[in-house]
Amino acid sequence: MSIVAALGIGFCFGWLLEKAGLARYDRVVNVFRFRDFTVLKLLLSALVVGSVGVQASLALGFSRSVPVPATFLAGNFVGGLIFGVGMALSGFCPGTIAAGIGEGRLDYLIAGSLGLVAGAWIFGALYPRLFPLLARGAHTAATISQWCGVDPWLIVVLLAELAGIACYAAERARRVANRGPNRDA
Amino acid sequence: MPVVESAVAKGRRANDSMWRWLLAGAVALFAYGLAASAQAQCGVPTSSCRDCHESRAAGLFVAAERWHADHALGDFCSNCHGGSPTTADEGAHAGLADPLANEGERCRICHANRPRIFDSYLALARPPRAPGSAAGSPVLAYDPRPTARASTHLAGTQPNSGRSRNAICLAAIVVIGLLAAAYIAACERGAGVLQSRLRAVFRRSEWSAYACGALLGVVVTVSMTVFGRRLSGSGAYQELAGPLARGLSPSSTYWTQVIRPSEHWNSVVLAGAVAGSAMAAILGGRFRIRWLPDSQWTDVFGASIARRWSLAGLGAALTAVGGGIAGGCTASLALSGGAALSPGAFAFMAGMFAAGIPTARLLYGKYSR
Repeated sequence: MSIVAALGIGFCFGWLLEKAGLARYDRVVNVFRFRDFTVLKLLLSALVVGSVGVQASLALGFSRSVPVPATFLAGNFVGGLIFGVGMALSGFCPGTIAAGIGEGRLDYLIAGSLGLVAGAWIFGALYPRLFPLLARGAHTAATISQWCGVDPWLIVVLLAELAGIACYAAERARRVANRGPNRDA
Repeated sequence: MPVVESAVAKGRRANDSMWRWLLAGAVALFAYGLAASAQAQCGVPTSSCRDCHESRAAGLFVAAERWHADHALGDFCSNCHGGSPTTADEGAHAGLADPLANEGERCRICHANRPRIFDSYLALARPPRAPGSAAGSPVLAYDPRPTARASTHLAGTQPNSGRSRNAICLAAIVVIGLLAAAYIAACERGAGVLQSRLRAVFRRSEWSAYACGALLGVVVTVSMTVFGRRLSGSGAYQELAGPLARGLSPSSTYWTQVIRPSEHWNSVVLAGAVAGSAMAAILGGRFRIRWLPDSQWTDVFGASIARRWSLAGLGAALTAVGGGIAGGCTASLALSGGAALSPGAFAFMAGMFAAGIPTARLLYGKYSR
């Protein structure tokens, strides 16, 4: 049962990443070069729909709880920095690499997978030293709404508003520059 | 196929497609209900402790005490407190234990070779002894029931009856909405046109980023709420690295307690993602075995396979280390965490762009296409 569910979720995940073109090197790198905002648009629209879905599911009582990743702001940020360097170098992240493998890309399948396994092993070896440092920064609130002490729906609406502005700005920048994502594979 | 159809035949076809839509809606609802009920049985979530106590209560247990702060970023509640971390209902509290009983016995699960850690915790937990009282083992007041503070925070949760009423109401909304959409679509366009359009959509090589994003949001919601799992790419590779790392260092706490040998969910999701992408690529005509990226890379870095593969491997390793430090990747932290409104998700995204933009600029130099 849970294997079927995991396969189904993965299938949709991979399907959507491929259809959005995120299995391409240039797509992912060009978001950092302000040439192609597909990654940003996909991420923001998924965030908006996902946060509405999660809050609706909690409010309607379909699920009692959701898994919230731990917040330790300095660690999250520094980890993000290293992650960003890796993403700009390789042109994929651990999710889109699966989409790239599905498209038949051998650099993703062999070099990327080996690199990820090696990286995971390195982090495991560093873990005993890093853990106490990271633990010092643990945050008291699990979610932004708890942090600010406001209703989660207000944060959801705020997020949607900011995402809308960012997407509008991205579309406008593309129109102005007129050299956007028109180089298809 | 006759171009002109009689009004009766048209009506019958519209009716047919309406029933098909209705059936699809009912199947989807049934599947959702099945999955939701299976959640409690399979106990899929890694730890229900954090889920209930942190996402429902106001961060009560993180950083309240030193040992909580020290362990806050892992999912270790049950290592110290016992209980049943795979149960999502009241049964989760079965088998709770005093974390500091028997001179830190439970601490030894992870810290066997560092006795000073649990000695310091034991010292912190020891109540100040009244002068002159008999020396003996310290008695710890340990009450597993939620405190008064916790119950005020948890008061927002709804009782069961309201929940099921909400579920029925939402089901009605979904069914009526689907019915209306199917009816209108069938009347306006005709079922044949609808079907061929749908087929064309599935064969189109690229979908709009917004459509993909919105659907991905639905996938994230289902993964998070029905199965209690964050959607993850890096988690799969941590699981895949597990056997190798356990072979190299069998006593490592990280590879036995944090990345547990029994965990396979993320690897299965990854396998599904490869299959889904392959299916999409084949239908869209984009599947091809290739050694290098199709465009842009060779313009800037040349056609050397060795160069691409070494930089891709290095980048991949950096994303794995960075993702480990941050506590997730683009999918599991930025997307799933962001959907749950975790502050860490946005700190991660800020870091990702703050480093990615200068790195890309450095790599590309004057290249401006």
